[in-house]
Amino acid sequence: MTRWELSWAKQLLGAFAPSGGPGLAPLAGEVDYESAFVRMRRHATPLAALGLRVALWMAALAPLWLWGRLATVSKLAIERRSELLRQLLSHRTFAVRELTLLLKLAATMALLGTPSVRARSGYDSVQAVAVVESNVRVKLPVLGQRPANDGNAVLAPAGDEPRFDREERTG
Amino acid sequence: MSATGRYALEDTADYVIVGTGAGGATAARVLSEAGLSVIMLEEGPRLSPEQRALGLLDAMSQSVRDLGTLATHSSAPFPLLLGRVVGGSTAINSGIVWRLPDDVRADFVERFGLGELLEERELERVFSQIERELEIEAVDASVQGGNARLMRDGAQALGLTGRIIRRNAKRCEGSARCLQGCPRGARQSMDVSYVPFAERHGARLYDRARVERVSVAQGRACGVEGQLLDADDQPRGRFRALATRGVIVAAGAIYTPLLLWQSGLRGRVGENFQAHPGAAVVGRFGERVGMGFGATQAYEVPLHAEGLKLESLSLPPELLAARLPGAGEEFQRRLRQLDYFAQWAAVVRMGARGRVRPARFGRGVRVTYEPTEQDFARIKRGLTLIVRMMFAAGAEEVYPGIASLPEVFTRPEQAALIESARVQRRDVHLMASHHFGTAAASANPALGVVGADLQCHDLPGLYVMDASALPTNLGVNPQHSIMALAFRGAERLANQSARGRAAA
Repeated sequence: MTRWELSWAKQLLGAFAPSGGPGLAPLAGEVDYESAFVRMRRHATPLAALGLRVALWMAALAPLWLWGRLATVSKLAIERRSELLRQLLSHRTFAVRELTLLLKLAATMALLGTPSVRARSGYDSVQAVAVVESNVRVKLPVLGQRPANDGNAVLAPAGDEPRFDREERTG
Repeated sequence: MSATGRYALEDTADYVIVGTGAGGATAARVLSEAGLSVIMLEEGPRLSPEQRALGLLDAMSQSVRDLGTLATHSSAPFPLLLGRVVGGSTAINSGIVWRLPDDVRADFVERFGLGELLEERELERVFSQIERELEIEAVDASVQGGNARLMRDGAQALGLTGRIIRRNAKRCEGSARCLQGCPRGARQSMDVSYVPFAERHGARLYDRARVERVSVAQGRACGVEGQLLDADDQPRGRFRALATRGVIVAAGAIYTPLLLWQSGLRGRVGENFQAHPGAAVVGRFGERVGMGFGATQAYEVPLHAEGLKLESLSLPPELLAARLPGAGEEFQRRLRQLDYFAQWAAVVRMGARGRVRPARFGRGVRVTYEPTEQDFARIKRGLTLIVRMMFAAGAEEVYPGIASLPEVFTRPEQAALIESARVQRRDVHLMASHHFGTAAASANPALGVVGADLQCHDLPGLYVMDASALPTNLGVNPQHSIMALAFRGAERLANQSARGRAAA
């Protein structure tokens, strides 16, 4: 891939969840979008790798063919890049939507594949709570029942449908 | 280096098995226990549970073929997921266990003459043995997780009959990482169960070994040859594995027919491709769902008569994020709430038939497959039910993922839009991880590639023991049926060998 293609990849993938935005936002330079994009291409089928590259060109030149503006994505402010991607994701043409979705997948792979961002996302927090709970609880096995989860978990009464431990696990 | 200098590796055994997934590993388990020598060949790497990566890109690079980008050749292509790692797809699935449904078994017996292979009492014995060995049981209450709990609430509200999923993961700790490969080794996928079992009984495993063709001598399969791969999948030398009794191909319903085709077999090879494609709906709830904890799949609503099954399906955060609408500020606000989403999928037993062939250009494979109108109607029916279930379970907003409809549903009545005529096939994202039928078993050579003994009609000594040999799709998760099929087929070979030894 050329240098300007890598630059487009960084600009486009970074525009799905820009630094400094509301909600979950990476710090500037925290996410390596180019590397994720290159890795995805390397492991994909030849057709999908080609599709990723076509997606890059399609989105990078979208200001021209979608808005009639003589510019590439590099010339747009970050908010306009996000707006452009929103329009491409809901475009009436199947191929445009799908190719943009490929870019979005590369972006989320990079974003949430970054350990610091994933930690801030809170996605794993319930698991952390559950592990602590399961470590501190002591359950005595009941005769005739097999202890589930090494004896630390709540035992479902024999013969009953397994219970959900909603309150204990999801807090 | 071999004596001839042509091969970097050369080995010989009674049976050479291509593939270490549900079919190949089970065959290896049976044959090695019977005292037969076995070589197992796997194109992907061998990974210990500790080597399973947390990040999805790392994990999929390790163990999913082509990063899940192999897609159908159709008017609206969709991805076909398959494992490429020791353990095959069993190493990256949820370990769901369903016995072969009675109506499907009856069809296999009547139409395809598989009565002896699938004899009812023998099948019962084999299913029970596998369930015992892999410790099959319903997901424990402690690891069912919020995603499954909400699905149960939604199903009950609509009066649908669901159940806790039965899996081969008795010691599951709820890491929600089935799709990346269990980091605890709790799920009894083949890489931690039957492959090591076979090795303890003398079987030899070669990973990163890509089989390219079946060798034939005197009209009989006598081995395979191919390419050894390094850690970057680059060739590092050729290998040959010779089989004195037979070659068993178990590379899955896409790569098994490809290998047979590359070995010169034709007829119905690669025809009759069938699948269980599915689509999913995401909903946001006002309370924490906690998709990051629990068994990846723990609750299901089987609608077998309708050719439909609904399942809770927790996603790694990378895939969940890609599934949320939009880009920019609104998208980022949703990302902040990753813990509040649930996802359920509708999986369809489609009637469509496709075809597997080598790619027209370069390496690889081409899967031609087009869902029918009726298939798509089932998908729409499943998605409609899920949207209704989500609102009934308390969802505040639901993302149907259908291009021609609003990105966000906020009222249950909007579910009716899905079954309207404006929703076209290209508006819905499908995905399929269950593939069948491309080297079908049938006593009648006109209907299948292998016979009722799973031996190739056109090439003695070559056996197929994976989902390719199942003549149709099943309507339920196929791993258990594939294992039973391979178990029965391999037992037959072991008994033949025992009789041969006794006679000698």
